Order: sequence, then structure tokens, then C-alpha cells
Amino acid sequence: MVTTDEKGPLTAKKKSVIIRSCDGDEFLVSESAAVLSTSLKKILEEKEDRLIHLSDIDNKTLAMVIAYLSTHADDGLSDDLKRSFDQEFVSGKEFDVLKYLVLATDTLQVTCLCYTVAKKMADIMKNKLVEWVRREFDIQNDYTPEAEAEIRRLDAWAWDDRQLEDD
Amino acid sequence: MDRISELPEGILHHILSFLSQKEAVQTCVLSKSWRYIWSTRPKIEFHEDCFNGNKETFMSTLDKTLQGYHDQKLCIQEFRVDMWVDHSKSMSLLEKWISRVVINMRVKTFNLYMLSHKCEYFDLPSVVFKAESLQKLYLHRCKLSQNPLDKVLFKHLQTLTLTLVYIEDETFEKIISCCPLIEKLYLNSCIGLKTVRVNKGCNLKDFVWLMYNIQKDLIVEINAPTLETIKIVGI
Repeated sequence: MVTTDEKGPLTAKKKSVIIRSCDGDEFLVSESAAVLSTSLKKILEEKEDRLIHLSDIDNKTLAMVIAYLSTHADDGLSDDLKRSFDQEFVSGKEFDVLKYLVLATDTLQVTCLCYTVAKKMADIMKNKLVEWVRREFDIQNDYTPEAEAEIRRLDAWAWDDRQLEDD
Repeated sequence: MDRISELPEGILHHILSFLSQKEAVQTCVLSKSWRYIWSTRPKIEFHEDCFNGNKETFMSTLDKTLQGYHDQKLCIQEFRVDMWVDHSKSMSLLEKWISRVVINMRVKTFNLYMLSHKCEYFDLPSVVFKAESLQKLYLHRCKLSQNPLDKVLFKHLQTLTLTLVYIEDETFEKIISCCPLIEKLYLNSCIGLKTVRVNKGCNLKDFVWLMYNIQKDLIVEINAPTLETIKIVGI
């Protein structure tokens, strides 16, 4: 399956690349979008092949990253529009979706998307109690109550005047 | 494995760098694998007011945290400290760490927000001007050396914000002439400053100068074709 990116069918003039996800789906991407990823740029510089296989990024995550790259490669869009696209891009996404996205942006070295996604993940944790974070992310507390109390005592200042949400 | 701990440390650090120091420290009790992750994130941010007036705990916590970075030879992207000027040994401890943060830890964003009830200033150690890695510098209630600085190495500085800073013309001119990449220059209620000269060859885009009273003998000369906004306001 070959899917064109959001800019529609590519003209012969415009160079394009095919990127294959780990589950075998292929995406046709303009080279100007692909090179916004430092890793893809390096691969393209090193080899003639226009097919790039990514062994650790699934099709859903890859589709999202490509939508992002294509939008940011569009010279017709203003910086303001790109910024609001970024906000829209991460809003309402489940934490697990963001997790795969941040891993993909780390692998592909897309710095600005990595920043946007990591910030969104931090926003989810902000102003929350430790207990909330554990519950939300299924983190198993492997401290004994005594050990946890001792660690809290070492940095007691960090647990003063708490007005955190536990929603 | 749970939904977050499996992420590589670099990504966890990135996420934690958007949290306050307090929130980052609190992650140490999530589980054993989280015990020390916060302590090597690339950002340090301490506010004395979070310590309920206990300066000793504030300084020892700052010292202990920075010592950890120093021992492991780690770099810091962002450093911010808000604290009250006083005449205790805490000022010399602060000076010691400023030197290490700007030189050894190669900080990129340095934000020193000093406070004072008596309109006092913190004498900024001149080592700050040798911070080659610095991209953004924010200073509040600091005094910049009146003696001509021997060397300013702000090769990468893009943003300079001085608020309630004591700085004289000669020092300002020396600094700004050594910032080839400067894009944003914000001056707010600076004391001693009457002349702002920015010469050609720099990338200045935004210039803002706020002051209590606009004096008659001010001189502003900006020769930068890149300039987009200029604002000079008496408040």
C-alpha cells in the first residue's frame, strides 16, 4: 500500500521518498518533509535508495509523524499556523500515543516535535500527587513504607505546602 | 513494565525538564527505578521562597544538588535561581556554583533572579562573561562590574534581559559589542545606563527599553538591518 502525504500526488519534479513502517505499510513523502528529520536526512545523504525501512515505528505513529513533517515542510503555511497545528496535534491524545510518538521523534531526530510531545507529557504530570501519577501510569511502588518515608525526609522541602490536584 | 518507566532516560529527562524542581524531586518516590532520574535532568530551578524562609536548607539543597552534577561532570541546559541578597556566606557559595555552571556545565540558559528589600544588588561574578555556551541570559537585581571587563565571550548569546540591573554605559557597550548573534535585547529599569549603542553586524530583531523616567540625555543608536521591533517606554 502506498499512501501519499497530505500534499496530494507528487509531481515528477518533486523528489519523494517511500518510508515503510515496522508493520509493512508504506508512505510516500516529499523529500523536503523527510529531511526535517535529521536521521532521515542522513540516510538519504548516504544511500541512493528511495525506500527507507523503519524497524521500530508502527504505521499509526509513522502516519502522525509524516503528517507533522509534511505540514512543517509546507512553505505556504505561516509560522503561526504551524504553531497552532502543533498545539492541535498533541491535544487530546492518550498518553500511550504520546509515548510512541516521543520515541519515534527521538529515533527520527525531529527536535521540535520531540519538544512539543515531551512538554505535553509533562503537562499531564504537572500539579499531580505522586499517588495519582503511579495510578495513572501503572507504576508499581516497590519501596517499603519505611524506605519511602526516609526518602521523603531527605528532601522534605519538596513535600511542603502541597496544593496538588488528585483528580 | 508500566506505561512510562520503560522510556529511555534521555526522554524522561526531557519530560522532567518541563516540571518545577519540586515536582521533579517528587518523582523519586514513584518507584525505585525513579529514585535518581530527577537528579540528572538538564535543568536546575531553585526558588528560595519554596523553603519557607529557611535559607540554610535552601543553600544546602542547592549545594547538594549541584554537587551531584559536578561529580558526574554533567552539563545543564537551563539554570534558574531566585534568591534574596544578603551578606552571609551564601553569596560566596552562589558565586562558586555560578562559576561552575557557566563554565564546566556549559549552561545555555542562565537566569539569576536576585531579590532585595533594601534595593541592594548582587555583584555578578565576571566569570559569567566567559560563558561561551550561553544562549539566553536573564539577570534581575545584579550589579555588573564597573571595571572594564577583560574578556566577553558571548559568541552564542541570542537573548539578553536585564531587569533592575546596575550597569554603566562602558560595561554595556563592551558586552553588547561581543554578542554577534544577539536577537533580543530587553532592558527594564536598569540603573546607570544612558547609552545603548548596537553596531552593525549583529542580528538584533527586538529591542525593548523600559524605564521609570525617560531622561533627556539618553542615547539610542541601533544599526541593525534585521531590526523588527523597537520599544522605548517610560513606566
